[in-house]
Amino acid sequence: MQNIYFDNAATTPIHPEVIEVISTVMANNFGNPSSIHSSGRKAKGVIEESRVTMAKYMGCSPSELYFTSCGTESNNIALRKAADCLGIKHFISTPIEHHSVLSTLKDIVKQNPDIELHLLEVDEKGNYALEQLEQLLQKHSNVMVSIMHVNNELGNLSDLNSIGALCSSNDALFHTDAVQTVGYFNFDLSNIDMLSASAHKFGGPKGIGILYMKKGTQLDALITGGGQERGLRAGTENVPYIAGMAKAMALCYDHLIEKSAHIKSIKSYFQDSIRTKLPQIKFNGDVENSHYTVLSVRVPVKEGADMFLFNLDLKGISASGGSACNSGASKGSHVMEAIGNSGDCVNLRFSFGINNTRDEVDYCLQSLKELMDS
Amino acid sequence: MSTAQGKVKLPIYLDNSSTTPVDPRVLETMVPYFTNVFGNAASRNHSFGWSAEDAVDTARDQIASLIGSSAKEIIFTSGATESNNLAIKGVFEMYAQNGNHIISVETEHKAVIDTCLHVEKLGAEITFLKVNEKGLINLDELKAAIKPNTILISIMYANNEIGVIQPIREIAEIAKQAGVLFHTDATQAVGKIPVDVIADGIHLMSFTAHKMYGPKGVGALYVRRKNPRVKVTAQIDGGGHERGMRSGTLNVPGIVGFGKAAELCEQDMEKDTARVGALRDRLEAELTTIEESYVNGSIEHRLPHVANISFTYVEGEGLMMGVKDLAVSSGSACTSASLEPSYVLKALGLDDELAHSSLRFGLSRFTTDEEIDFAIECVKTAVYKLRDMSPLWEMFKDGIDLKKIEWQEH
Repeated sequence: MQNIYFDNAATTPIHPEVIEVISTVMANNFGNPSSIHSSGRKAKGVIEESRVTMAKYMGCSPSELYFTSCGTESNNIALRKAADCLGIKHFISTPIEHHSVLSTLKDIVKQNPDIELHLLEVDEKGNYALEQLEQLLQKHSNVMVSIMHVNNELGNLSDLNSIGALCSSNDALFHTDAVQTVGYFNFDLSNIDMLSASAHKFGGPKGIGILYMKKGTQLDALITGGGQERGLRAGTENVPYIAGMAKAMALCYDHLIEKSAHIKSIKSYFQDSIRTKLPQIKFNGDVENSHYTVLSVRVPVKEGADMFLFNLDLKGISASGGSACNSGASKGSHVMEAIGNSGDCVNLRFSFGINNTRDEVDYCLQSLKELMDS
Repeated sequence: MSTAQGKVKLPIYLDNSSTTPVDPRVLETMVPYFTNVFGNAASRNHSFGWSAEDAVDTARDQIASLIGSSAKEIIFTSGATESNNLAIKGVFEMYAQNGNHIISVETEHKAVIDTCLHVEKLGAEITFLKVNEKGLINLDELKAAIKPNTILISIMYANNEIGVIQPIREIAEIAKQAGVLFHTDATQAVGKIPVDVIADGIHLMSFTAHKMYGPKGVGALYVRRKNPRVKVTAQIDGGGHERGMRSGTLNVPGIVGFGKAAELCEQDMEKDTARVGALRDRLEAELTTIEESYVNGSIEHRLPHVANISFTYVEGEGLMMGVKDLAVSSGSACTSASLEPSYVLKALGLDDELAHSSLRFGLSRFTTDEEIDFAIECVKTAVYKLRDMSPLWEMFKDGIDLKKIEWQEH
């Protein structure tokens, strides 16, 4: 039985060296970092070393990184607390953001009638126009822009440098949800005020994330209590996972060239195979400008989109449905809806990682063919 | 000291109220969920996701069994601080039309106090009840504090610094009579003493894995679903995980570890309490043979593995230096970064000096007889040595009432 994991945008396997770091810290260094005795100081040391390591790879100062419990929490802190503490009156975002941004923004405007939310228009590829962003930035003041670096369903890549430059020249704050890209790209943070990331998307454990916040930005805590993380995020620090996240990041960036080349080659092999062998399958999103890990496709099916995914799983292939266009059962994807994707088809997201092989792609193509023919 | 030394590995960890080591059996259970079963529990379309979801369900059952709830009533969070935030802010927002008054206690953990102060800025009215010299609240004061606009009573199960257990069932009854929700921060109690949310009458309860031999970074909020059905407004929005009350990809290995830790606590509680309780009693009996030493908090209503003892005429920092082979706490872990005297001990009526010269011992299922022998000798030696050097101790022994001396400013 095949066991092929093509769902690396949902979560990635944890690197064995990361597990080793986590287990070692858990077994030998279990103190509470707020305790002043040696066990506590040792635990605190692990946290601060991890912060320094991660800051080096992110190209920022250690004091600009805050540890949270996940990307979702990082997004919630950035947006909610910017609304509370920084006098933001206008949020500009896109309709295809992750729920942790979109639902949060909608909740913020519901609770604060004086705050407005502007969602950029997206075309059938999921692209938005920087011109519209610029117009909105020029029209309004006290603005925060939140645009994801890579769309998790389509893979579309945003141009952070251009958005950041526009924000900076219009005195707007810029937050980006970079959950899909930290560990996969190098960052220039000079025009980014806040950035969210999550360890489990780059070979680290679930339940730990980071919020990058540019020096000088001051926010209150979303979770209040003992004042950990310099007052931004209370709660006993998850020391083993912090160490594991730093290790995972180091493994990503120390081997970035080889790793990205491998994943790119898998994706383009998959893409080319579809073009030549199964041309009835179409691509979603902006395939020319997308993240090298994500490939979203539209498969024509006669009936039972849900069954299609189920059968794919029976063949030992793990991919993500997001959700099917015409399946009555599941709630449709807001991203597919935003790009007007409907019809008798099933949307599949294949997302690749360092462990995937060309043989797996061949097997997957064969399986797709069989399912479509059946 | 030479007798006990050599048998034990230093430093001796007696700060289990701050955090506990992960039980090796828990760690072992977690590892496969890092390696083979690494799926996202929210992935609905493949076996990696289903296996992760199954593991989360098992853990939910194990945890529910420990606290006598149903599995659906467990909301996973990143820790007790987040659970406390979700309970208090979540009730404040969800029940805004019923009122805005919240009753809590001055000896609560910072995660509750700071959160109450936060919602106060948003328009809540907060009453912090006082405690007596034993650390217990007065139930009549609680009754008297309830007003028509009271929506929540948040009182901790057991205190993190002195281990004092509040009269939970009586508080729950008062809350029930008044039609007010009752939340308890049971971080220190769950897994250590029997906690049953139904018998105890609890509506919302915060607790965490890393105080009961589980991993850091995972906690839970119990939210009652029946009699009454309780709802809280989510504080972290996103994919709508955890019945919409807490979004974010689930920490599957952490949750699995939490579940195993809960199962072990349930299974070994009686045995652990008997053994660890006896060790605590011996430690306390020996240390209180030191002249002018006092146990803080109620002796009768207290966690079995905790002792908080003050030693007069001993300077706090000197004491910590003297017992540097012991990992103990002189104040709550979360506030010990600053050298403020513990607000919990001050609430009991201790003055600043005495609060500073207090030690909190938190024993665990891994604490041994030899370690307690060593700790007893270590503390005795440190206290005697410091007093030998102390002019105040000399004056006290000479019968001078130090409280009556007018010290000269310099």
